[in-house]
Amino acid sequence: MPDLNTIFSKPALEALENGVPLTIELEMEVRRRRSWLWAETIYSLTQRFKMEYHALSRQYLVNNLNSGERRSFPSRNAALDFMGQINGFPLLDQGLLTSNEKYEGALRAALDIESLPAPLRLFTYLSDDWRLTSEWYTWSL
Amino acid sequence: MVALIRRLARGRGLAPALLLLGLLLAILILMGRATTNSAKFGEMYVWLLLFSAIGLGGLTLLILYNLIELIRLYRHRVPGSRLTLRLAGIFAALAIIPVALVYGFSLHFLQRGIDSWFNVQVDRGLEDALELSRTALDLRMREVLRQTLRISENVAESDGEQISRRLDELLDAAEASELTLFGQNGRIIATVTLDPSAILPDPPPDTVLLHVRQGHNYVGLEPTGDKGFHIRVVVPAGRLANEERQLQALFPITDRLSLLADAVQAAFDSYRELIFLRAPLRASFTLTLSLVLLLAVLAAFWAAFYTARGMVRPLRELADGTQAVAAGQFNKQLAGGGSDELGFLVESFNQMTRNLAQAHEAAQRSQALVEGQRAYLETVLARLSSGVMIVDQTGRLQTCNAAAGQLLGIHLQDYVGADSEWIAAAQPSLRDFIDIIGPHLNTTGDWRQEITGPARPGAAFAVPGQLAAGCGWPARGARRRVRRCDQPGAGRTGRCLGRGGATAGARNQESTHAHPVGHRTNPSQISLKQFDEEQGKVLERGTHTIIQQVQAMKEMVDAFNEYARPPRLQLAPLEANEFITEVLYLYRDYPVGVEIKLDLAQEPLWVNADKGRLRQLLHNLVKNAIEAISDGKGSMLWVATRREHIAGADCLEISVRDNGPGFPDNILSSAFEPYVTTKLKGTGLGLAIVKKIVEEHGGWIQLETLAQGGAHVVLRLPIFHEAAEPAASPAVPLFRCTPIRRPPDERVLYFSR
Repeated sequence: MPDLNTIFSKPALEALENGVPLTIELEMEVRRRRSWLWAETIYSLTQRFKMEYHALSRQYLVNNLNSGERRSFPSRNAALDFMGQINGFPLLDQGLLTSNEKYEGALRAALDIESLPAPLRLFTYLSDDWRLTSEWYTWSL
Repeated sequence: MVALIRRLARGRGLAPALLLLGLLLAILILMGRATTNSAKFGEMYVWLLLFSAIGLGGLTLLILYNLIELIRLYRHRVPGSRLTLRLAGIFAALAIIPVALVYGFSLHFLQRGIDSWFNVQVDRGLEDALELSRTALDLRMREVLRQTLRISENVAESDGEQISRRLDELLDAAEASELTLFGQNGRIIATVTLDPSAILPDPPPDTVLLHVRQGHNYVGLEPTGDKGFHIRVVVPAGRLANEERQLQALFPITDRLSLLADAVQAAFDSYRELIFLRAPLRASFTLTLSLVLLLAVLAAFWAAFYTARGMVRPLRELADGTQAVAAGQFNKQLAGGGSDELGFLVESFNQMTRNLAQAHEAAQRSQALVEGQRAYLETVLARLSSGVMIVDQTGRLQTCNAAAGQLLGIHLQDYVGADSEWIAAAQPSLRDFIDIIGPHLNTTGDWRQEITGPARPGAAFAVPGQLAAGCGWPARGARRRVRRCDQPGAGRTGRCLGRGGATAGARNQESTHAHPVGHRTNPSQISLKQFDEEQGKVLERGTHTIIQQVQAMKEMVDAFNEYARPPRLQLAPLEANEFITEVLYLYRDYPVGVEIKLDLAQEPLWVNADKGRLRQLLHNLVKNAIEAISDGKGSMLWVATRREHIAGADCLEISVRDNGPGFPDNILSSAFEPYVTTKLKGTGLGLAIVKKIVEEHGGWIQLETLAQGGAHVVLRLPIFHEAAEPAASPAVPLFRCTPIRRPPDERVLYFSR
């Protein structure tokens, strides 16, 4: 479970509170572990969420851009938890994995700066505050 | 590509440069749109930025290359580079100042403009509107919370199917859209909804359930879908069979309230976003504006270079052309310089070089003619058995021919440049000769005397020295030619006879005056015969030899006459006014400080003449006049024609008049004789040729010095009538001049056996 809070820097949060929608990408991978080499990625999937702050209701709205599902949360943490919790997500058919190999799942979250408004984007290219990507969170399958 | 870059770098290739600038401009326009309209161009904003940066960088490099190249040319002092650099500098400065001003003002207005979007009152008003909406909704939320609490009490004790039924009744009563009872771990115990399509109830977030399990109530406003709201209420619903239960009720907001709340939210949202993006927006606009400024400046620089080069190119070609003409290359023609003043200048230059080439060719032809005549003359002179010596005022021997040395019995060429005293000292045998001629060196007029030379026993010298002014060969040339000539039979006689004058001696050989020579040779024979009778038989043998020699000389001169006779005239009708205008056209810019005025008769005047000869006549007259007066400032030369009726015949009168010093008196008498000149480098043949040509055409010529000063030459040629015989015998008097003398600079001593 990656800590999505790490991808929210101060300017990013400020933008969110000021009504700028943020797009968060969740990258999911299934990797085959190898003895000497780095793990081989055999499957990957990206989920994109759009998150914005609704000032009137003081709610955080999350829109899964892949599925179209919309949810609202009274706090930012609740919204982040929702995005980070992938329960029973149909990622890969079990039958495609061979039993005598070791596999791992990997998950990483990143802020998509390409979907920011154009004036802001120019600065996100130049500033480290906006290069927001979490570490890979891995678990064994 | 490389070729294109090189072309651009050298300031050529207008079309590619304009294309590049146009492309950059388009990119910048798109960038401006991208900043304000992120949906359409937002995606390519970064690429646009990148491309424009690359393009502008390239343009900068190009201009730097241009500048460095120009400075290099300037240092090497390449013609035109200084002007190009100066013009480019001026253009660039002219362009930068307005552009910088516009930039400054634009930047100012940009900052002010963006700031003016925001207003504290608008800000507060929107916040108040938001707060008002919240308050209005809060009332509703409190109301639905109470309703939900009542429903919760109602269903607290219910179980099984009873619950669904109770909930259904309560749903209608409370005007809720959904009622759901949750059990342990979010298990749905019962749910009723107004929406028949909903299969599963909308569950509350986990945090909310946790919050309610701790005994709190939750009521929250939630946006549904794209617009509209509902109120979610979650309350504890008692405990039944050790299972904590929570009741969730969803209440819709009325459409009107929902719409208003949405509008407030949307306005507030976009306003907040705008405020937040103010700084980046301002920076983006400034960046775009700066890029536009850079493009404008660079384009101005480029245009400055291009224009400057274009303007200087014809000037540089003109400079090159002028240098070529200065180096004697008269056929230089420049490529067209366009339709402006520079083009006119180039065309004028081309016209000038064409005229120069023609004049040069004409001059060369004249020179070749004169050279040829002189060569014939000198060959003949060198073969004369008469001795010719030229002595200056101090008695220094300037030149002599071979016959002179042989007659005197010494090698006279060794003494060229020597003083007469020195010659007398070196050659005592010449002492008597020098003593005799010495007193006559400073007198004017002809002098004739017979001298008996001691060097030849029994011989008598008759040395008539006729001294005349203004006569002379170029000393060096004469010396060279004299050495080359031999003297057949010279030095065998002991008696010399001098006759004629020094100028006559020279004149005798001139082609155009060959006739008088023949006549004058005969009297010398006669005088020699008389001399012979007077002296008796002692000199009979020698006299015979002299007669033989004179005869030989006569034959030779006659032969020369025959040889030097000019080619047959090729007469043809000729309109004098037009012809004179054409010939004098060559002189319109030639003499510095001399203005030529034409005063030609209105009527056409036709003469039957040889075009070439008449042209030479005019050239000689005009050139003589110009050279005589060109040292003065504001000199004038008038050339006039008119019809005259003289001696029963019509004739064309051409008069050439100047306001110079006029003819020197001593020249006037002999002006038509060859080798009479006042110029350092003249051949003295000019007027002689003129007279000859006039004679050939059956005309008449007169020279005079006007009372008010200035030389005046009048010549008349018979008018051509179509019915009449062309070039009939002269109807007007042939030749007239007024002889006046002046002290000479040089004497020509002419003597012969």
